Amino acid sequence: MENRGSSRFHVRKPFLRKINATFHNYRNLILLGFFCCLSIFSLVVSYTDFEMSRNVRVLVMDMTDSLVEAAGAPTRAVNTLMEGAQDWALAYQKVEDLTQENKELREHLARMRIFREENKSLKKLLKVTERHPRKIVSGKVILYPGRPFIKSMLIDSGVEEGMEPHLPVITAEGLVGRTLEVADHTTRVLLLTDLNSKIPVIVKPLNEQAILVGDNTEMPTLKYLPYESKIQPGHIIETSGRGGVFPAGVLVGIVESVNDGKVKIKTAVDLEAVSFVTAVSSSLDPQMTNSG
Amino acid sequence: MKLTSSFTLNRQVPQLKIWITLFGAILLDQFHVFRFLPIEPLFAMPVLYFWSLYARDSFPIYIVFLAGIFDDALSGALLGQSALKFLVLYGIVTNQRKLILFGRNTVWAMFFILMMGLTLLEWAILSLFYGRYVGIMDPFIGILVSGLLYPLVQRGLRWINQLNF
Repeated sequence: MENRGSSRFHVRKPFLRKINATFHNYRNLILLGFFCCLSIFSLVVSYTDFEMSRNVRVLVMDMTDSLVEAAGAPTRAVNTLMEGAQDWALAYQKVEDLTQENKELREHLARMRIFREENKSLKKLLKVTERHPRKIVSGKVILYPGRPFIKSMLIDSGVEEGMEPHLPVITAEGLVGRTLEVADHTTRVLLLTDLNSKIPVIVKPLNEQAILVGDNTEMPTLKYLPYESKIQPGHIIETSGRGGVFPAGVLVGIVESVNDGKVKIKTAVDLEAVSFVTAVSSSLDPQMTNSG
Repeated sequence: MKLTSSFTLNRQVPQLKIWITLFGAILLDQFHVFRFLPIEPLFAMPVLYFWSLYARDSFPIYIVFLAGIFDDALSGALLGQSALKFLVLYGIVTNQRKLILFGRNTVWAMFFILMMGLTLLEWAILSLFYGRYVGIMDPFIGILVSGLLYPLVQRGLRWINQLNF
């Protein structure tokens, strides 16, 4: 019996023996070709059938959420330590800044109280129907892939916490992106800089509608502006509310540069330094609804 | 052809070491470890390159495929995107070992060349799928940083290889 490598099959017929030997000689290449074809197939299926790839990703997210949480702990600890060290180094300046900010916020608060009362009485006069407040779900960023072609992050809130797909994700500074895949305890957020992100926006003070398109760089591009737009660096970009996913008036960023009709936007949120985010749910907040 | 690489590993490396280092590197790629750098280095590709080069007999191809799918699922990429990239790297490295191991510098230089080639391949696939220009400068700078760190990764993996577990 001819011994061919580590084969455990004993083939008697010459033709089958020849095939067996050929397979052994080219086994690695055949396997490589097979797995490459499988990858290309899953790439095409993933692109065309988004639901299937989303299910696979949600499954992996469910299976690995505690592993990811545990594996990210050292990174978070190091980052907290570094931020803490920076805070200590600039403590005096920071206290001064915060005192000033606190003073300004107190003034704002006093003004807000007056406006709220005024608003209430005006609404009463006009008989305006109250809009119900939406439920919000917050989450901690547990994973931020530092990958060149993908701009997304994973947060530690999922279906159990009330998260849903296609919700706008914001911070106090402005828009971050929208929820994409929701597992039991984790959610993937598509950042506004990602290639797949397209957000209807409005340019202030021109009041011109446009679409903010991510291109995997830190500065997304503004497209579909009116033909003779007079957009300039410094103009403010806010969500327009069209399409129904993003509420109107959320700050997105400011115009950084305008070159040959190519408008680049600096995002309001430093996406790489975000620790906590909030998703605005489509369902009503029961506490606020009952109290209101 | 005489191999003049600075070191060689045992042909049989425990698969557990390969699993731990490769999947650990994939997890590391998902975190913002080097937040202070403008462009972050990638770890999975150097680890895959190293084990494909020095321990191909202990590194079955299905691990490469599974690692790629795991990476895609975690990072939110199209399923198969990283898997294809990993498989092409594995295929080239395991079939061109003599060329790559010609000298210490060829190992490093070939890593750079392969990374550049694979980034171009990924860029071309994505541009084709999305039908528009995808920025390529950031990925290239990322590859440059990863390439510069490759000797450190190699040293770390050699040390892991010497551990008994």
